[in-house]
Amino acid sequence: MEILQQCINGLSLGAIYALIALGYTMVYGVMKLINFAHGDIYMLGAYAGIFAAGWLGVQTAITSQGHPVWWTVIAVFLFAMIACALAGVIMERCAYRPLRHQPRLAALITAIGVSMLLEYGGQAVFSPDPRSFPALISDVSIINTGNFRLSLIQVVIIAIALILMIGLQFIIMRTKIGSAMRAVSMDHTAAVLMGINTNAVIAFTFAIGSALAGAGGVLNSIYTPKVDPLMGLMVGIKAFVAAVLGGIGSVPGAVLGGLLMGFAETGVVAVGKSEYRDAIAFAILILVLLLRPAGILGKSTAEKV
Amino acid sequence: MWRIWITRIIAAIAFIALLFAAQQVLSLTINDYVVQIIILAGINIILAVSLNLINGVNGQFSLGHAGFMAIGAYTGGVFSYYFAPQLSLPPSLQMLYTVIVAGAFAALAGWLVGLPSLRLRGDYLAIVTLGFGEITRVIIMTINEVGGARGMIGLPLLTDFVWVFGLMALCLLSMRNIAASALGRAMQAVREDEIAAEASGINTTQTKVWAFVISSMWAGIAGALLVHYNQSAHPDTFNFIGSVMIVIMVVLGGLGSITGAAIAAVLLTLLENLLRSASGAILVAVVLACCISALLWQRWREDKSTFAPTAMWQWIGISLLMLGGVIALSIFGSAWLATNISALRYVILALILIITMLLRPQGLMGRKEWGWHSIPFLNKRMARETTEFESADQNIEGAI
Repeated sequence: MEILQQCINGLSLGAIYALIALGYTMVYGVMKLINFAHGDIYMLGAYAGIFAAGWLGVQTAITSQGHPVWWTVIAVFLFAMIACALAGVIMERCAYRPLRHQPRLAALITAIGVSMLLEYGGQAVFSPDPRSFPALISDVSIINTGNFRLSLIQVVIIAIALILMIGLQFIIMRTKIGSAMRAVSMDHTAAVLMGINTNAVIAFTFAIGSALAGAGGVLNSIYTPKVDPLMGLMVGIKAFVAAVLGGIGSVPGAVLGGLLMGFAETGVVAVGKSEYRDAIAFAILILVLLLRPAGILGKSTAEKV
Repeated sequence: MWRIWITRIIAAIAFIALLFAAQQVLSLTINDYVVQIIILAGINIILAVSLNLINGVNGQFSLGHAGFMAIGAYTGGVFSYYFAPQLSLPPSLQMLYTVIVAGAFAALAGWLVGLPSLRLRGDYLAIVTLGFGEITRVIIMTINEVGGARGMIGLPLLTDFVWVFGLMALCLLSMRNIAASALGRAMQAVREDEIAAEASGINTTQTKVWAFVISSMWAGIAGALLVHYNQSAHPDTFNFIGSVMIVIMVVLGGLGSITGAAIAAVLLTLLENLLRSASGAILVAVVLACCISALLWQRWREDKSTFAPTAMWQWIGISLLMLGGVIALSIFGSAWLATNISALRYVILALILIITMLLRPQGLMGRKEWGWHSIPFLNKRMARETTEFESADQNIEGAI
């Protein structure tokens, strides 16, 4: 039962990591850029959720008999996702597009700058003190057998993450813009020659990835209702590690990596070494890069001159 | 041969004597706050110039310089706190041993990190070094003998002006000589094209490991200098932002330029101190707005065809917008500035990093160096040679 409990905890944490890792992996696929600021988009999503909940009048535990008001939950998610998509597109337009033809390191350095700007800009605008996220979904148990507990929050997290992932899979595999995205990530130059508007595709990729990060921000804030401007740094790095673990550039890999990261972190906490919960991510990263740099589902490619 | 060495030894002794004299003059004339800024600037110069070896000269990307600094700081601190009192050494010898211990352990860490990281390049290396820095910090925070998360206090005050600037001069000298040596040329070859360098018979692995070892040794020494000046060490000093600050120095100075890194280190130390008050922040914002305006102007002038009237209006619009912003900030925002200054300091530093990358990616100096040859009448022949060399160097510039 103890193991099953940890599995459920790991699954809900891993679903959140997977959502954020998807953004990393998609942006890396089309631009070959590690978007350092992706974790801070996640932070913006959490704040957007707070504001949306405030405007809709959701205070702590507004639901009667523990039933969430579904339309407010959906409205908060939509608002956070749209706000994050906008932030992602603006970020791409202002900071990354001018550097498209520069060496990759230039874009990486800029991404570090953007990340720092969002973190400390967030401190200046939202104040550095942590805020508590309103209880959109009250903490009721669905199954509770003493030593095993499945809460409504965990079910909602897993369900929403699953819906978003299926939606993403549909966009990538079944729509025109999705096939354009796959074409750009396969070969940028060839995609341009085929008449694909790569600027629009990259902007769209940023929008989708940032929206997923925003949803992840709201989900995580429902799970652990503490929101502060620096929260994106560590989660962003963990989600990046998840993307690398699954194979960066691969969408199913990001989901798999996210889930594995969630399990690893819950495992470390369950063993009682919670002070190492941040270090485990880096340990996994270093092991992956040494043993299988392409990741679990990634394809290793030979370097051509 | 021995004549050169006699000249060098005399020059070194004269330099150290000069440092002692300067220390005396400083302690008599200038207040402690300014002296503190000068010493921090010296430490930052060591950090920036040493990171420049990895990020600028060798073309790799390390985001974990603060981690190496932490290793040097804590091993040096442990030595001076636990072991040095038993040896009952005079302070100067104690500092010498501390610096040697700190440098040796940090160099060892650089070797350990450099060795497995060789298979990675670019962005992956950045993440692994970032991870190394964070792991170092987490491990330090769990060791109770060095104070854990509370930090280590009660370290002896060993660092002074002479130590900082003596070691800084040694660091600058060693970096200059490395850049001109066979090893330095090999590092630059790896930066320009790793595959071509390997095809030319350069052991790229060894070259990169050397860059890491030398660079982290100096970072460790700088860390030891810092904690023995503050008389305390705290894990938070060596966090991710600490590493990013050093990266900003190197990028602002120009990746690959030793003098550029040193100038940027001094500039950023001054900036950090200016950004402690609202009026300082407004001053920095004005200067920054002027720089952006000038850089945009230059950018459009360079490409005559795109400097159409629309671009002109864009330039005027952006400049006016920034002007209005600064004026509004100084009239309405000073209370907000004063309360949020600690966050806004990093906002401005982040803006400097982004703007440098977008509008002047070569930084202040590009890959040029400032030296005696920059003063034409001092050494005409040397100046001629270096200008030829630099113009050849500029042709291949553009990679960064």
